[in-house]
Amino acid sequence: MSMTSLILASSLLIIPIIVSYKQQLDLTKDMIISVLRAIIQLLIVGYILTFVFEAKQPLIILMLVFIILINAALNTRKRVPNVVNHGFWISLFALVISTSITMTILILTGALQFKVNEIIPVSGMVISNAMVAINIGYTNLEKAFTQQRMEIEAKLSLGALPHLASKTQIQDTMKMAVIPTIDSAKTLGIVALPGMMSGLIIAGTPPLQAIRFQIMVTFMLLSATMIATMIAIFISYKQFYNKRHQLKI
Amino acid sequence: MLELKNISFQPNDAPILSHLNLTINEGETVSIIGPSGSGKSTLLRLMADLISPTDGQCFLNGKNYISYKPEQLRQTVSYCPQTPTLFGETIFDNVSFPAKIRKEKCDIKRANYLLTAFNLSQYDLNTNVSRFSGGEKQRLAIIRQLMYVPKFLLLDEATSALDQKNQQLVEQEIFKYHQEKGLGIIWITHDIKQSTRLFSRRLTIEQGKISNEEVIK
Repeated sequence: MSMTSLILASSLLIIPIIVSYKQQLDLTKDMIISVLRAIIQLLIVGYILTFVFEAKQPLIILMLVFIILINAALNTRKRVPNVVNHGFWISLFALVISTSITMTILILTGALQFKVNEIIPVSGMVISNAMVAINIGYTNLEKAFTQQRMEIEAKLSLGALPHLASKTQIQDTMKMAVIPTIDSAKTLGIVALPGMMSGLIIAGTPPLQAIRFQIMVTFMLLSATMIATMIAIFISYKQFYNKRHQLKI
Repeated sequence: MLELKNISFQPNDAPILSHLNLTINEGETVSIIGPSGSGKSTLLRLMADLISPTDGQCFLNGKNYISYKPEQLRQTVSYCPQTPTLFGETIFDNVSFPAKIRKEKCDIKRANYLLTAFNLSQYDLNTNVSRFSGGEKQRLAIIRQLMYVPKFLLLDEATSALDQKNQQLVEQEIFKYHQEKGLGIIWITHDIKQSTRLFSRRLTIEQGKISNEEVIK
């Protein structure tokens, strides 16, 4: 693809900007910033990856994964519910655990090799999906506690402990966070030909091999999003209560 | 015995309750009246330990609230909120919740007895509650509270959506536990007749203070 084609393709952005403006969605600024950020970030990463892909030391690979983790955790801060303290650390912890478990299993089973050109893209996918799930989780957790405050208090009034009083809200929040990943898995191949698989095919990999890789990616995304959401939500929901098990919101 | 000593509740600038003192003996029945926004519901929520006073202390049987586990306290001093919120989908989801808290099996016989006593016998435990009227919701919320009889039952306009017949049925059933098991009742009402009919004491709350206290019988 030539640079001219890419610039012309950017005209696609006009549609969401017009829709946002007409419908007063107040998303125009966010959209422009996100696109500019994406361009700058990808350009920088492109240069870094060119250099890094020549690196063989495990320490450099781990350092890069850690940088991705920190960036992802930083990106969840805006969605952390108001009553929750240390949101960055909770997200980082959830992301580190979910990524470590998923990547370790993939490496131990031989699905992945500990090579920079395999670890970096795959861990990037895992972390990115887990980050999105955590963000959805945070947003819905706050909404659930605010909107269903009366139900939670009615349960507390009967003598329920916080985990039982807010069980429904926690379950709903976790479902909402993981459903996008499940839904996208359901439509793989029928609706979506995912990026990694398409990329491999475009790059000349035989389709069956690309599909094997994509199946692995689906497994790992389901596992990572579930683990990350569970950790982030289970640590966060407790902060909606004080020591007397009273709601703080 | 429930004691509130010099209680104030002022989460923001304006005080909702200020320097309020109140003692309620075990098995006593007290009605609370007062204009909207006077602090009646806040008082009950404080008694139920759903909020803590910004000043002053609450005691149950001479022991400060903070020396009790919150869940233990709320099973003893049980609060039925103004707007009934039902859980899950069915009547069973609601009546079995108190047993779930105690990790016990739901007493189906008692649930059915209470449904009959509260004039909801036309429904069975599997009935979906999503289409329940306001009055039916209120009755089911009280049934839920009575699956295990507490020491004190705090009712916040708990029969406001009921017709007179059902209101009296609910009153009779609740006061039966007062007579048989020494249940203490603290009941907020806007119904002046109701506030004197069955209670031993009536409190009037205005602007966060007890402005009047009458011994009825």
